[in-house]
Amino acid sequence: METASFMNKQYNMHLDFSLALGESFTKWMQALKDKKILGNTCPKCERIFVPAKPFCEICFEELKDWVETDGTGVVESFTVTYQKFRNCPEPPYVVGIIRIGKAATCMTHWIGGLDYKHPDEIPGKIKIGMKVEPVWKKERVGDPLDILYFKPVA
Amino acid sequence: MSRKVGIISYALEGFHGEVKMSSDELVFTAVRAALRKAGIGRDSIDAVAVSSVDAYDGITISNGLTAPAAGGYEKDATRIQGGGLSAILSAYASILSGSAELAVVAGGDAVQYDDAVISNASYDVHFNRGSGINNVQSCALVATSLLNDGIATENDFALVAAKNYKAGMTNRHAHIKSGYTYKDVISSPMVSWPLRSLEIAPVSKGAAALVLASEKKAKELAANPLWITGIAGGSNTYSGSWRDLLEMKGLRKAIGTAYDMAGVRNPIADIDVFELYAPAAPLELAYYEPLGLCERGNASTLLKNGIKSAGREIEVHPYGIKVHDREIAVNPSGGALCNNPGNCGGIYRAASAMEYLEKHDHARRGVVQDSDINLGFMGETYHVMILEKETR
Amino acid sequence: MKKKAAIISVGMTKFTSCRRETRSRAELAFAAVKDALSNAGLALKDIDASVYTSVDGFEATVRPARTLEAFGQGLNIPLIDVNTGGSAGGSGIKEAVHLIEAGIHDIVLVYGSPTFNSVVDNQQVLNTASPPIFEKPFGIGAVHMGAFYLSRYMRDHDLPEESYAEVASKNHRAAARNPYAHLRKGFSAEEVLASPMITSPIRLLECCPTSSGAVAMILASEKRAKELCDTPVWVRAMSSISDTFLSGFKTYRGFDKLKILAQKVYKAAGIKNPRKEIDVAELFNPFAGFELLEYEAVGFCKEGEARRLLEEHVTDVGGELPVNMSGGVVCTNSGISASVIRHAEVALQLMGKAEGRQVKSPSVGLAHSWGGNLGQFHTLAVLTL
Repeated sequence: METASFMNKQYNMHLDFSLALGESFTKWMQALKDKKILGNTCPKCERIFVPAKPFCEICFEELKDWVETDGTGVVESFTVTYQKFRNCPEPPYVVGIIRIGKAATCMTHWIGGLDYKHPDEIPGKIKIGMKVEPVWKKERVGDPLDILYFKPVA
Repeated sequence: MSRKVGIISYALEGFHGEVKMSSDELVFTAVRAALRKAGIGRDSIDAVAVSSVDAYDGITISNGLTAPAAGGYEKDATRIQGGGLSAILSAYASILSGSAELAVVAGGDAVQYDDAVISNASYDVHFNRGSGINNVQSCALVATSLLNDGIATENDFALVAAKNYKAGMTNRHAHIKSGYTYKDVISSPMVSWPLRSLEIAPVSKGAAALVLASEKKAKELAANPLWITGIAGGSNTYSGSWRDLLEMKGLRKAIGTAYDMAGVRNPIADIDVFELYAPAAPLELAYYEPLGLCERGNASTLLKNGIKSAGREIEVHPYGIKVHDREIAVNPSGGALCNNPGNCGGIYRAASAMEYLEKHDHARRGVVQDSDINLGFMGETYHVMILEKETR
Repeated sequence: MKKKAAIISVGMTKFTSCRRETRSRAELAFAAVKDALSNAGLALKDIDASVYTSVDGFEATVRPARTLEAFGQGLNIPLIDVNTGGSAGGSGIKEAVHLIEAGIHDIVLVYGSPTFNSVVDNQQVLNTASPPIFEKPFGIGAVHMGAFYLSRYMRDHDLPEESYAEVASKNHRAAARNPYAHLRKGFSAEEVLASPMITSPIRLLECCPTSSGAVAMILASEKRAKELCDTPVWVRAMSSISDTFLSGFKTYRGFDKLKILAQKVYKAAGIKNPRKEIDVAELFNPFAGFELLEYEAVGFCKEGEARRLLEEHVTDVGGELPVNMSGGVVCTNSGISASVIRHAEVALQLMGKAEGRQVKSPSVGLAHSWGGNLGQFHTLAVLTL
C-alpha cells in the first residue's frame, strides 16, 4: 500500500527598507559620537527620556528641551544568555535594562567588564540597582553600539 | 439605542514621495492635529485603531511603534491590516458596541520600500510567488479584461488618468500635483501591458487621522459632524474562479450592504461624491457600474460625458461625471494616482470625502471605497462607507 | 439594552512540533474551521464575517490570510485581519465581540493562525520584532524579553529557582492530560531544573516550544447563540491595554499594565473578588514563570504572594482556582493561535467539553493574552455561562 509522501519548501522574505530617524533620534545618536548620553524632557510632566524620543506618549506633547546626563546609570533588570541564536552575539552575553541618571525610561544595552571564566556565576555578580557606566568605542559613528557595553562602577 | 457614529475631525500630514520623519513622529503629528481640531485631549480617547501592515512599516508588529503615537498609551488599541476603512469599521464597532465613546483611527507611511516586492510577498509560496506576480501585474490582468469585455478602451484608460491628475492639481494634500494631461499619459512608457506608467499610482508618504464619536459626544463636540450611515465589507476569492474575481463580487456585496444600511436606493440621485481606490487608472471605470452610476458596458460613455472636446485638445473635466445633468464628483482629490499611501490610504480617502462635503454646501452624501489591492488582486477585501451631513 | 456576544463553538487541531508538521497552512485552516462549523451545526455560508489573527513577518508572507480560502472569501465573506503581535488572538476576538455587540454581524468566525509553523529559527524571527536600532542589535529574542521580568521578580522577592521550575512542571503535568497539547511528557520540577539555562533565569523546560496547529472559534449574537448552542459562553467583559514600544517606563517588577487592565475589565464585569469569583483561568505563559506575575496582576493574590498560591496547589489540577489546565503556552506555542486558544480553552471548560482536563462545573472564566516587544500589549476577557 502506498503511503502519501510530503514535501517541504524552503523560502524566505527579503525586504529592504529605508527609514528616516527623525529629528530627536538623530540628535541623540549624534551626541554619542561625543561620548554624550543626552535626554529630552516633556514640557508638561517634566519626565526625562533616555533614549530621546519625539513625543511624550502620556502628555502627548512634542519634546523640544534637552538635558545632558553624566552617562552613569543603574541596572533595573538583566539576563545572561547561554545559548547561541542566529544573528545574535556569541554566548555568554549579558543584556541589561539600564536607567541613565534620573530618566523615567530605560534603555537596553550589554553589561560587560565581568569575568566570564565561570559563566554560571555571572548572574550572581550582577545586582538590581547596581551602578554602571558606559565604555566607549574608540571610533564612534553615532549609533547605540558606539557604547561597547556598560560596566559596573568601581 | 443610538445607531449613529460621527466623524468629528480629520487631519492630514503630507503627502510626498519621501518624508524626513519616522513613522511614530508622523502619526503623532496627524493625531495631535486631529485631537486639537476636535477640541479634546488624549485623556478623552477610549480606543485607538491603527491602519497598517508590518511590511509597509519595515518592522514586525509595527503597531507597537505607531499605537502609542496615535494616543494609545495605556488605552485599548488595536491594529487592522486591511486598509484604512477596515480600521474605521473597527472604531465604528467599538463605539456602537458601547465600549468606546471617542475613538482615534490613524495610519502613517514613512518608510521607503518597494511596493512591487512587498505585494509579491503576499502571494502564496506554493504556486504564485515564484512567478513574480505583483500588484502592478495583477491590476494589469484585470485591466485586460476591461478591454476584452468592451468596458473600456486604452484611450479611456488615459482619459480617466488625466481626469484624476487634473483634479489633483488643486488638492493641497496631494503627492502628485503635476496635472499630467491625456497626451502625457498615452505617451508614457508601457510598464505591464496594458498599463502605462502614468496609469499606475505612485507610492506616497504621509499620515492621516480621524476622530470618531458616539452620537452623544459628536453632538457635544462638533457643530457639524458627518455621520457614518453605512459601512460594509466583502472579499474576493483567492484560488477560485477568475471570472468571479473579475466580477468583483466582494465589492458588489460591500456596496449592496452599505447602500442598504444607508437607505441609498438610487446612487445617481442620492450620492454627491465618491472617493474610490483605483491604484491603476482603469479600475475606476470598473467600479462605475457596481456603484450604480451606469449600466454594464457604459462606463466609457459615462466618463466621456464629462469630457469636452475643444478642437484637437481633449479637455478633461476634473470630476468627469455628468449624469442626467447632475454633477457627481468622482475622485475630486485626484484619487490614488495623485496620492497612494499604503497604510493610511483609506483614511485619507475618507478625509478627502469629508473635505469635499464640507466645502460644497449642496453636497450631502459621500461614498468612500477602499480595499487592499495595493497588494494586488486575489483574496482581496473591499470596504465601502457612506458619510452623510446632518439632516435639518 | 446592550446586545451580548457569546462563543458558541470551538474547532481545534491537535498540536505537534513544527519540524514534524506535514499539514499545509491551508489544510490546518480548513480543519480548524470545519471543526468549529460542525460543532455549531453551521455551514460556511452562515458566517457573516471572518477575523484572521497572526503576525505577518513570522509567516514570511504579507497578509497570509488572503491566500487561504478557508474563511469564506470564495463566498465573498468580508475578512478582517488583526495583527497586534502575540496578543492578536485576544484582539481578534475583541473585534468579533464588538461587531456582534454593535449589531453589525450575527455570526463571526475568529481564526488563530499557526504563525510559527514554517519558521526555521524562532528567536531569530522574534528578534525582528525588537525595535531596530535601540534593542534589536543586543540580540534580544522573545526569551530575553521574558527573562527581564523573571530576573527582576526573582530578585525582588528572593524567589528560589525551584518556584519557576514548579510552575513549569504544573503546566507540563496538566498538558499530559490534554489530548490536543504539543508537549505532553509531564516533566517534574527536578527534570525542569536539570534542563539547560537558555538565558537567566529561564531554563529550556520553562520555555515554550514551537508548535504547529490551528484553532477557530465562532461567536454569535444573543439571539443566534441561544438558537444554536446549549451552553453559549458569554463575553461579559473584554478589553486591551498598550505600553510603550521601547523598554520605556517598565521596571519589570510585574505586569503593571495587566493590573490596570484587570481592574478595568473586572469593573465592567462586576467582579469584586477575582480569587473567589473566578472558577478557571488561562493565563499567557510562554515562559512558565510569567504565570506567577500574572496571578498578582489579575488579583488572584497580593504582590509577592504568588509563590504561596503555587505551593498551596490552589491553581493546580483539583485546586480551587485551576490555571492553565490546557498546559498553557509553555506546552503548546502555536504562534497567534496560542492567544486564541486561551479563550477557546476557557470556553471549552465552561461548556463542559474540555476532554481529559475538565474542571468541575466552572461558570466564570478568565482568558488572557500577551504580546509585542517586551510585552507591550495585553488583552483580558471575563467569560461566563
